[in-house]
Amino acid sequence: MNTAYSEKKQMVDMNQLGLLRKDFPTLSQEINECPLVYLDSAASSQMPKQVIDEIARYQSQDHSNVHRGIHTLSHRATDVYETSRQKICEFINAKNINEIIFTSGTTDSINLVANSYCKPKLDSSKKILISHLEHHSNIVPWQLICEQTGASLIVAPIDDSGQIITEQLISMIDSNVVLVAISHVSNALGSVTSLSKIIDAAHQHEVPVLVDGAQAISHMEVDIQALNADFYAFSGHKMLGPTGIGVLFGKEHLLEDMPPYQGGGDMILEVRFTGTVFNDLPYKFEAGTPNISGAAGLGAAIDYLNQVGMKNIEAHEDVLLHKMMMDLQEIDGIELIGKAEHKVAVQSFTIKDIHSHDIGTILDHQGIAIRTGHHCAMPVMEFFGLSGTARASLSIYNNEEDIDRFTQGLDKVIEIFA
Amino acid sequence: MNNSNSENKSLEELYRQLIIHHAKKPLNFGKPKNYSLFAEGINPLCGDKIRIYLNINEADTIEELTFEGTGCAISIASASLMTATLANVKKYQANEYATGLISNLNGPKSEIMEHTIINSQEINALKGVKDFPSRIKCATLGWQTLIAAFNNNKITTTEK
Repeated sequence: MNTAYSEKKQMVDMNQLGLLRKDFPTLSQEINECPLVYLDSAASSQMPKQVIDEIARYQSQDHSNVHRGIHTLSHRATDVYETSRQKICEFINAKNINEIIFTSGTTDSINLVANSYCKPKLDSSKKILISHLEHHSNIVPWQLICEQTGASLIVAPIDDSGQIITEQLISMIDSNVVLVAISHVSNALGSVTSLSKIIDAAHQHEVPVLVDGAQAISHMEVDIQALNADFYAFSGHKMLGPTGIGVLFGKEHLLEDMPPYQGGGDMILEVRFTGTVFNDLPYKFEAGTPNISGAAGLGAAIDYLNQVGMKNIEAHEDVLLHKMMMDLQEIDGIELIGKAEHKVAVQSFTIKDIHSHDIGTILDHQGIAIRTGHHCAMPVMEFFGLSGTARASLSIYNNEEDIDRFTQGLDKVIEIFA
Repeated sequence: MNNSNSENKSLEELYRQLIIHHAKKPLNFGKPKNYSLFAEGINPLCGDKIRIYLNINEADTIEELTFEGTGCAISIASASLMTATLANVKKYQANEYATGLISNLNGPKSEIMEHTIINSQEINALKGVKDFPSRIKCATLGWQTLIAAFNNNKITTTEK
């Protein structure tokens, strides 16, 4: 780890990336009279002023409805919305914009696939395969449709390092599995899933794979064609964009065959009481007036990420994560939870038997924001025999000083509970 | 970078020595063999769980009050202090006191907590939560669960 750490540190100009934080207005404030250290980007990342400005610009200059009006503003709104779709398409290297569906977020994207792709195919002989590592949003939608159809939800195990046991997951795939749904990166532990092996194995059984990419998309390059995932879901607010906007990527031939998820305006070509002709992709899955300003903000977030460069972001965050792991390990009584070999941007931990909420309160009092509790991944916590952990997560705008402030803040926790 | 004195003061008020002491070594922790009343309180936002067990005698007095569960220092210490305060108290008085305490902890900082029968100085240690709105439910969970047990509600949650 040490060699890799120093090599990577030389690769990245830490100061250059650390300076990006001036672009993020939220970060230049004091919380409880201390400069804010934001280590909760896995819950929601902050937005650079470029994103905030673009949302304000759209709202104050272009706002109208999309795909409807003949007037100038409607053209501009449509242009903003569709340009964002194009940016997303290029960002993840999808084949074309028909594969990019706007949703309200990862949860919405997963529910769309559950209801539109899976549910019509399910009966008591069928199975959905997930892993023990999943966020509740990649568990509960499957439970709901399994309950409705009598299908089974089967769960691949994880190991003590917090990684999916790839071989065991693969051994659970057979022709009765309708879909494999797994996270790219664990939100609770940061573990990166060995996707290519799993996707290859699933495809040998002609089983498609949905990837929950919420925790990966802003931390690494995602090339959807190289990955060969069938569905890929992510959220704007975890990639420097606003809340309420997200994406479902789906392979075009799969989306073509799926019935609409919700009915309404914009997803139709012709409506008669005798029947309705649905619109083409991607609009078939976008019923009603969409979140246009959200799409504008997401487009600006992608511009920002591209400008910094995903490779730079990955290297920068990797350096910080290794520093954080090393510094945490030096503190007496800290146990790191999640020690996967390949991890990004997240570290969960416990301190002796101090409850995570007490850790969270004492850190917040020093201006340091972390997440505490079960992280919407109760099965993961249960696996480790914990009711919760403290979790520090990183983004592009964090720097080494943040990590130093964080570990100093933990000294105070230990002092209070001494 | 360091906290100002006033901030340290309120953090130290929240985690007063008495609170830390009760959190580390809670009193009356465990499940009795027999009990006449029981309730479980859950804070679904954080997963804290407190179970309360009571034995009430014929004179309607609390003979035994124990608890078990998992939670943060504040919720465990608060439940522990509760069991110490309400032992040998009439059921209706305990109910009155618990209701008053919950209302007091949710009220303004200056509000004084008074009760004609039960007078515990130690309970004042809980008042540090008033500076930490997100932690008030931690302090009231045990008391809310006690009231649920009195009302024969087997389960209660902080989110209703």
